[in-house]
Amino acid sequence: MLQQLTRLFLIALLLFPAGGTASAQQAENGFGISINALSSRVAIGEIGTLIVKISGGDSRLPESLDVPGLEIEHSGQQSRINIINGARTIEMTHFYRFRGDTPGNYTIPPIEIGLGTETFATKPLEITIYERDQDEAIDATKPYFGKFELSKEEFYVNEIVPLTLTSFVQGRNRIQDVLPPKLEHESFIVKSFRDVQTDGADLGNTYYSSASMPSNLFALKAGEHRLGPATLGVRVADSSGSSFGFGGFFSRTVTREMATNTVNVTVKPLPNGAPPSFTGGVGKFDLVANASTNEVSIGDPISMEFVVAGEGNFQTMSAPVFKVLPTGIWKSYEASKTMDESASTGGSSSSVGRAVFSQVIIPEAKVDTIPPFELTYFDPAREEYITLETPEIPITVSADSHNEAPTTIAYPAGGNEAAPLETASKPIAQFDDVLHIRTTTPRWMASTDLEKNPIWFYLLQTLLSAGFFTILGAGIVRWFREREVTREGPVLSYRQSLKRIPKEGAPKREFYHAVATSIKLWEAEHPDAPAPVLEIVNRINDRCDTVLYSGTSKSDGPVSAHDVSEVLPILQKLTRK
Amino acid sequence: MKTPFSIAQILVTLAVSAASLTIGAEDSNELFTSANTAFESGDYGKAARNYERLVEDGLISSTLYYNLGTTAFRLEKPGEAVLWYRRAGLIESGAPEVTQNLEYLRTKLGFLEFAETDLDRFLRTLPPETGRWIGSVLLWGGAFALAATFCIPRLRKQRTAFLTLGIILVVSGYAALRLNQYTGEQLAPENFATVTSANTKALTAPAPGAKTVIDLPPGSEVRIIQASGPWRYVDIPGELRGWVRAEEITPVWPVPPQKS
Repeated sequence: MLQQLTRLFLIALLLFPAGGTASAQQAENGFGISINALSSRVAIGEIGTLIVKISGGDSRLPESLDVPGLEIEHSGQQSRINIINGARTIEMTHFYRFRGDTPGNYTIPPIEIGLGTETFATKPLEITIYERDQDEAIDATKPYFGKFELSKEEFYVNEIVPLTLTSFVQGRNRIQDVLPPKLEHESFIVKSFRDVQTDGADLGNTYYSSASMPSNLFALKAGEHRLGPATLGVRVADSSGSSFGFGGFFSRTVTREMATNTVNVTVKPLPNGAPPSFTGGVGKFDLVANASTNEVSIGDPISMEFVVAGEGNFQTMSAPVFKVLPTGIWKSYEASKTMDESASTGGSSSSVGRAVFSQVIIPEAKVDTIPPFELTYFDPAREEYITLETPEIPITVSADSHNEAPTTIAYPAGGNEAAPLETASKPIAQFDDVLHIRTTTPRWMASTDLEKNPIWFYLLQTLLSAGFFTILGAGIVRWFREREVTREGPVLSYRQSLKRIPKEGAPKREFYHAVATSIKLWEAEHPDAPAPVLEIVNRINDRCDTVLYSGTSKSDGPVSAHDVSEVLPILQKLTRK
Repeated sequence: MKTPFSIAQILVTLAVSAASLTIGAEDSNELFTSANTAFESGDYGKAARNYERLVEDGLISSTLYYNLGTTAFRLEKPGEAVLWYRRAGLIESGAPEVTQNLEYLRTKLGFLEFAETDLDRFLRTLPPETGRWIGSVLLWGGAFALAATFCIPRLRKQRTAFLTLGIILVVSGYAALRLNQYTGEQLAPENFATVTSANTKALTAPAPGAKTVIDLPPGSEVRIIQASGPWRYVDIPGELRGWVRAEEITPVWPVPPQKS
């Protein structure tokens, strides 16, 4: 925004250089530096612009200038090349924006730069920061500005004071939108700005669109204070932008921020001598009280509702209090508060509304009425404290179930204040002596040794052990059997074994081992074989033993066809019965 | 009041043996009443003797122990008073008179007591030998599960599940047995004793000239670790250990002397 503001005035500046506050240093060779302010008198909170012009070259300028009381920051730069009679010159323009929050005269010190072999410096520049009060708020020389109006400049602490912040922008219907304004002060509470009223008026023969935001504030601290400047922001139609021939439908908007004037106020403290029932309310109020029931037992709660309506500050107000402290008769709890701002009919700047306080009170004795409550507020118009009082509310209090004969206590009249209840401390045991002996007839028992190892414990262990080892033993036996079967391999029949006898050319040892195995199987299958057959079988068996175990025969070589033809037919004949 | 014993253990024992009273109830009541009368008349010595006769007869009663405690206090034997109150609390857990009188003596004597953890409190609520039974059952269950896993071919398909179950049961059983061991070593009433003598000191060695570990006010609680002649090596509240004379402390349970 500041850049746009700056550029707006840049053209005028370039066309009309060397304003009233210009200062410069120019050398014969065309090098030089100068500093100017668009306006050397700037209101508090407003943004001013400094222009530093460098001729014949450029140099790096600081990002900020250190001037106590002013904030000065570099905001942009621009270059221009001039060719005059064939001679080419460069001109650099640097822009700074500045603002101040305290009125006074400030001096911007020389800015030094090096150009070529020489050092150039600007001359000191005087800037004035001034307070712009409500009378000076309207400035028709500016394209837009803000105004801060306060209805009173002298008021009391906690008193609600209406205010209005207004944005002015040159042109008709220029304001498209309003940004939330900012008005802060540590000693004031400012209500939020919810309403916007747009309008327009001629100011110094120029028409300005305006947007007003009413609200109110109240002070927390007495004394002299300066309020503002507030910061306002609006979005305005950008008349310089292209709308592609479609008028305002496609028109662009730009944001304009502006600072308002300040207002010096005097906040008066509330007068001394406030009654005890003063709870912080400032304004003008009415009080209505209602009880949730008028028939209770001792100890039962009653919900009291206090409606405080009127015009003034409800935020700082607390609940009404008993006119006379009812010590020992009524017990009360802290009240809750509900603000009903919807009751306001005067817009956001109005202080009309109501607050509802809910409080639980409990009768601790038989009474006939709920005693009066008081609420004292300060009326700034009359400049005095006003006390409101609720009427006594008749009730019927019956004895509670735990107290058959409750004490009837007369409500103290005449405003005698009872002493406040003190918190009772819980009694602690003194332990001064041991208790007396018991004289009741004892229940006699006889002693015995503790039986730690009952027999049935070990019996159970025995049974479980037997079961466990049975399962374990069965498993082990089964495992051994399976292991043996695996090692021995499957059991063959004699016929099956014949098929496994190697053929001619196989190792002789292998051949005769298979033959011997077959003969063993045959013998096992034929225990009652006739003697002649046994003789033949024994002869083959002897031959197998000779080859396998005697060592006299070469058992490593291949078996011959002769051996095979001699043994196998006999073995095959043995299959016949 | 701290109760460093298995209440359930004591009660079960007493319930089992309740039928074996050695003297008639009428005689016991008569003796008890006469002890009470002596107490009321201020003859605390006679009251104590009559109460002790009932104890010697093997009778057990929280009321008897409580009255003995109060009588001992009147006889200016605060250590014995604490001892008898503790025995009464053993029989009648949480008896208000016992608790209150112990609290009174605690404030007056400043005796030392073992801190009680939540685990201790829980273990004391269990019946005696609970840990042994639970641990045994769990261990056997685990053993059966593991054996079945490898020995019963039909269970081979569920081998992983049975193996896991077996391991869990074995570990749980081991933990239960360890708790049982802890209960037996740390919480068994037979291991605890009460300091009944005044000016008792725990010493660094079982010798009269040894250095002092800590003074033990009457009523202080110790846990007996080892007996060595006339000396007892004890655990002292505050994670201390030391030697004390056997005659300066009295075991809380069983109640001596007993009639043979």
